[in-house]
Amino acid sequence: MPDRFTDTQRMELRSYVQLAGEAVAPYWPMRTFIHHNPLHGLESLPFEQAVQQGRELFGGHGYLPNQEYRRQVADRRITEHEVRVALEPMAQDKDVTFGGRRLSHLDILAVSMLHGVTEALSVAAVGETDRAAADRVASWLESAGVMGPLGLGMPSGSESGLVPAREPLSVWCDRTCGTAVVETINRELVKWCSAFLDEGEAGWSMPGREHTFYRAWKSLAQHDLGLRLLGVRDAGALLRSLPDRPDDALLAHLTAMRIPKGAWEQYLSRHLAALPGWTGYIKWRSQQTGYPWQEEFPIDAVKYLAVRLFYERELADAACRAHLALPAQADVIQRYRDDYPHACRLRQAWVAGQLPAAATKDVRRLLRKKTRHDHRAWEELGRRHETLHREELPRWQREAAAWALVRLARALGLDEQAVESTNPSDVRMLLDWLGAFPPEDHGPVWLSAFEAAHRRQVLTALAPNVADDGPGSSSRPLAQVIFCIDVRSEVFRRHLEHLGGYETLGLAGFFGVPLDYQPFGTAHAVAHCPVLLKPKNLVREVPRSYHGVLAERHKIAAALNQAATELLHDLKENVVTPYVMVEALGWWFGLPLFFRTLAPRWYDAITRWFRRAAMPAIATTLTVEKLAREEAEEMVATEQQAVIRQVLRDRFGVPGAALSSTLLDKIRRKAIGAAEGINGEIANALGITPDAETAFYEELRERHRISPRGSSTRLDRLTHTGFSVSEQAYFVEAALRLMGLTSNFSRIVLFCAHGSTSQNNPYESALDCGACGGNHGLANARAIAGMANKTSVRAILHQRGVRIPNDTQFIAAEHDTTTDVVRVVDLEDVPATHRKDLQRLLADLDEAGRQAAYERAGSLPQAAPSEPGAARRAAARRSQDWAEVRPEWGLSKNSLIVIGRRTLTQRVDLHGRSFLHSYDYEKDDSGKLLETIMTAPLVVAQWINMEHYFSTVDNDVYGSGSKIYHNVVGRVGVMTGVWGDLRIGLPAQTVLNGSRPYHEPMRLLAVIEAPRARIQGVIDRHPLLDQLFNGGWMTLIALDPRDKHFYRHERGGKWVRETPARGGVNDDGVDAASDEGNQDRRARRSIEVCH
Amino acid sequence: MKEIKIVVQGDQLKFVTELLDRTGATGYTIINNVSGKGHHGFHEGHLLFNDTSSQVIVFTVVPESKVEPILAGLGPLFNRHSGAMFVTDVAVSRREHFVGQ
Repeated sequence: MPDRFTDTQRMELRSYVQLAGEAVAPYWPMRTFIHHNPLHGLESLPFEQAVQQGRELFGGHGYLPNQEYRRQVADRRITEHEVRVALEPMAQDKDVTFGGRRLSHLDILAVSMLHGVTEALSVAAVGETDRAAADRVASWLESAGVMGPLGLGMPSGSESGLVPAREPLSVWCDRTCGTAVVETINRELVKWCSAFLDEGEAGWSMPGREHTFYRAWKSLAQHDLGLRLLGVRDAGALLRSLPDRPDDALLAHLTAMRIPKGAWEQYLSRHLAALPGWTGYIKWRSQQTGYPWQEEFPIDAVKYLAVRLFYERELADAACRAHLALPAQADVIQRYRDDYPHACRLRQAWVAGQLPAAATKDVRRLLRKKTRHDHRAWEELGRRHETLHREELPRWQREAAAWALVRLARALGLDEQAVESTNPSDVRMLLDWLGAFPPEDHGPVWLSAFEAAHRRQVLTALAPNVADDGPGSSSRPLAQVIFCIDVRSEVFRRHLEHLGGYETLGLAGFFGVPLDYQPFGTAHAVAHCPVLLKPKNLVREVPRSYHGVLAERHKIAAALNQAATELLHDLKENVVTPYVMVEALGWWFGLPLFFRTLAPRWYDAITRWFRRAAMPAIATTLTVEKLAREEAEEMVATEQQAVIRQVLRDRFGVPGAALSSTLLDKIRRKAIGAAEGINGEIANALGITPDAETAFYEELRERHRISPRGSSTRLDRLTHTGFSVSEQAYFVEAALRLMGLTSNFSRIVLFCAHGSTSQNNPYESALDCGACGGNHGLANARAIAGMANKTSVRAILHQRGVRIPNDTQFIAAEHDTTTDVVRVVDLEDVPATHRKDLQRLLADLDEAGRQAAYERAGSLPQAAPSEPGAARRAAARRSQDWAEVRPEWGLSKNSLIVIGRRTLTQRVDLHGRSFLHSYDYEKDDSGKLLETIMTAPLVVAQWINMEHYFSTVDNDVYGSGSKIYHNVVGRVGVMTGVWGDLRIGLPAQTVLNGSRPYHEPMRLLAVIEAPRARIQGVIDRHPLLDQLFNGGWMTLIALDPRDKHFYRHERGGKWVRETPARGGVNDDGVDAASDEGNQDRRARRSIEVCH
Repeated sequence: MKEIKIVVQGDQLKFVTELLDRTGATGYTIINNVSGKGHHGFHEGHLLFNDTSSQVIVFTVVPESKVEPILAGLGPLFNRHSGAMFVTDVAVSRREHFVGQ
């Protein structure tokens, strides 16, 4: 076995691993939950193929169960008409006469779907009369010589292709020998991954992590007694002999298992897809630059696979040798399959429990020690079994066909006599049709019908606004309020507009300003922008300058709090102390437990009061300004002089009067090496010895970081913070132009970000702003409002044609999507002239919030509140209740994005299901703005939509199951129970209501108000969009302003006129249709920020 | 010495820079947001809010012996994704800066 490989081989392997990992979607740590498509890596394929591949790789379903779609028919969410339209492309122009009725191919397919004619029947559900009818039909079929088609009643078991390209050896071994190799491998990998990837949760962390995943595992696994129990002999020596480089180890494993290079990618892909949560997280982590945990403890897919394939190589080999007397090598297994196909199928049928009793007995006999490895004997038995099976086949098929015919007759309102009165050739054709359209193929058709029904409803709702599109009002609105495109904003906007006089707009919730945000009192900055971007500017939250003393107190209190938390943590994690601690302090923990459960709102109020008392609220502001270098140097110099003065006073008792600023600056310059002074000069002035002076400089450099390096770090930090004036103007202009808000500014323009509030909820971030990377968006709103208020920024905008009147004031706020309370901040920046405007706005936001909370409470499963006030109280309780698994529905039911002017959607109740992005096609001749919207907000909306789609259609595989069983692991994600994969996707409580879907899983419908040619131009320039629209990942409808008609973009690029009334398709020429309660109080307090 | 220019999709950048690091390239230059036309049609650069979907160019200079591993690492990738790699002879003034270990 070659242990030495060349760089060329290693790099080639890495390339294959990179491709193999594409099928697995990256997993963002849950503290910044990012909604994304679990099949993101397969988006280069058309939707249906990707779903199919997702099924093969992850075992997930891509559509709802058929009976769920049938329930939607019963609920009138889908009509028969839409089912028929969806079936049209596959219908042949043929018909049969059944029970005296002429039925077209389309009729039969529609009945088959709507009534589940060919669905598998459970024995219990079959009544006696039905059984008798089916028996009669079956004997009639026999006498008439009609065979059932192959598709009915019989699972087909044919396989083709090389083993390693289709499934890993371990999977094949489990499937053929009934072993549990894959489960064992997974368990081992979960063990190592959860230990290695821990980010501060574990009391004892895994030793040696700094040596990378592979090496840490290699050295620790040598002491793992479990390996011996798993049947790996001489594990220690085996592990020691492994190459030191993970690439080499992986190459060695692949060589040893003789996996041909042509199959590497698929082979490794299946290994990575076995635990998509952990590997997705590894993928995310290895792609980060400067992520501290990754820099300290590196892991990537190659290292992971080097470990994983070690287990496969050893365990699959042991299992194959024990059961088949063959080594686990791809070519050997392939030869066995080719030489003994019947034996192979027999073993697999036996493992799958599909053998009849007689055959099972024979297999048991063969499993005895003497004959266990006798491949010929197995082959012989397999052949015999299949011959018998073939003889039985016609009867089974006839029975299945009889059942289908009886159910078809019933569905058509006929009795089973109808079958016997039908011409046998027609029956044969009918059965062929049914057989060619088995239930597992219904999903895509159902989905298409479901979407068409939704499309019809949306377009019908929008149609009056399209027809009634008068010129916009030119008078100034009371205020303009800019919300995130989030679906929850739609409800709020509607209620606010309903109060009259307001204009609302929609923009991605980071308001076009990507920034790294460092809240007051935290050590690290967090990216506040969509994950498609990397911020280039840092913004820090700092106390307002008049809060100097309070800020110091705050800092001390925070440090004490931190120390206490750490002490508590240490006491809890120690081996001995918990015993004592429980006795001494245990009761104290009982109080919160008691009150949080029984009186969550009261408990919240009390704790808040305590927090305030210990750490008084502080007014803060953001460092949006970029400092010029000279200014920054000046600031650093002043800071350093102050430190030196303090040190001189404390150490040498030099009176302040003796310390002139010139002297302080001299000392400072000497300490940072910027000046050559004569030694002794300063000593004289201070009255100390020259030695003491030298020691003093040392102290300044070492302890107080007044050194060349310290200065430049501080300077760098200061000059990298904030935005220059031209950058600010650029961002403000981009945001305003994207929304088409370039004139008629009102006296107040409110940037309203959003975030959620819930307790004990690992998924809290999933309810926050996706455009801010799963964070609260307030920082972005504050930043852009600050920029837009600046005179210098407005001067630049003025030159570029955006005139903001002097009396326009931009303000920042945050919409709490759980309670529908809007919190307006930085009110000290609002001039007195705007007092009344502000007062009115605050009152109206409060009222709109009450109405929005009332409307949204109606969809929660709890009893609907009787009036808006009760709804708000209930929402506040949900946000504070630590046992609440569903604080709000979040983005569930999202299904639509409208990119266009508000006139298109105004007054239309879109039920909180629509993303709304403002866009004015008249102000975007070049199409650049549309391009920005389509390549970023639209893409993010599609991610959110797909996350909800897949979490709903298969909550076990693509979602994360019930929250009740979740355990947080490693501070990165959750597992179900104590062992398993990191759960991907959304929990059941977010998308399901009980066992039924609450979210209606359909692909995003994008309605864009713009000329078709402009939209098409953008699609043509962007392979990403081309893939999404032509691969069927979302549906696009253009509202062409020239003729005010809706056009649907078909796959392949053709635009088809869409008529709102039917939602169906018309040919181009046919013209079928005309076309916390009180903000004021909270706002003042909440100028301190909510992190 | 050889100069290598690699044009790839923005989301593959990390893979490429890591590949160069691993093969021992001593440095590289990245140009973000490039536009152009290739086998997969036109690629637009300069997207306002999307860094991952536009293309980037990575330049590096390496001794001839390192060209092969780099090529091996990009081969399978380019079989699936759009991208290109150009290798040219180049003269450098401070050779030792580009040789590495």
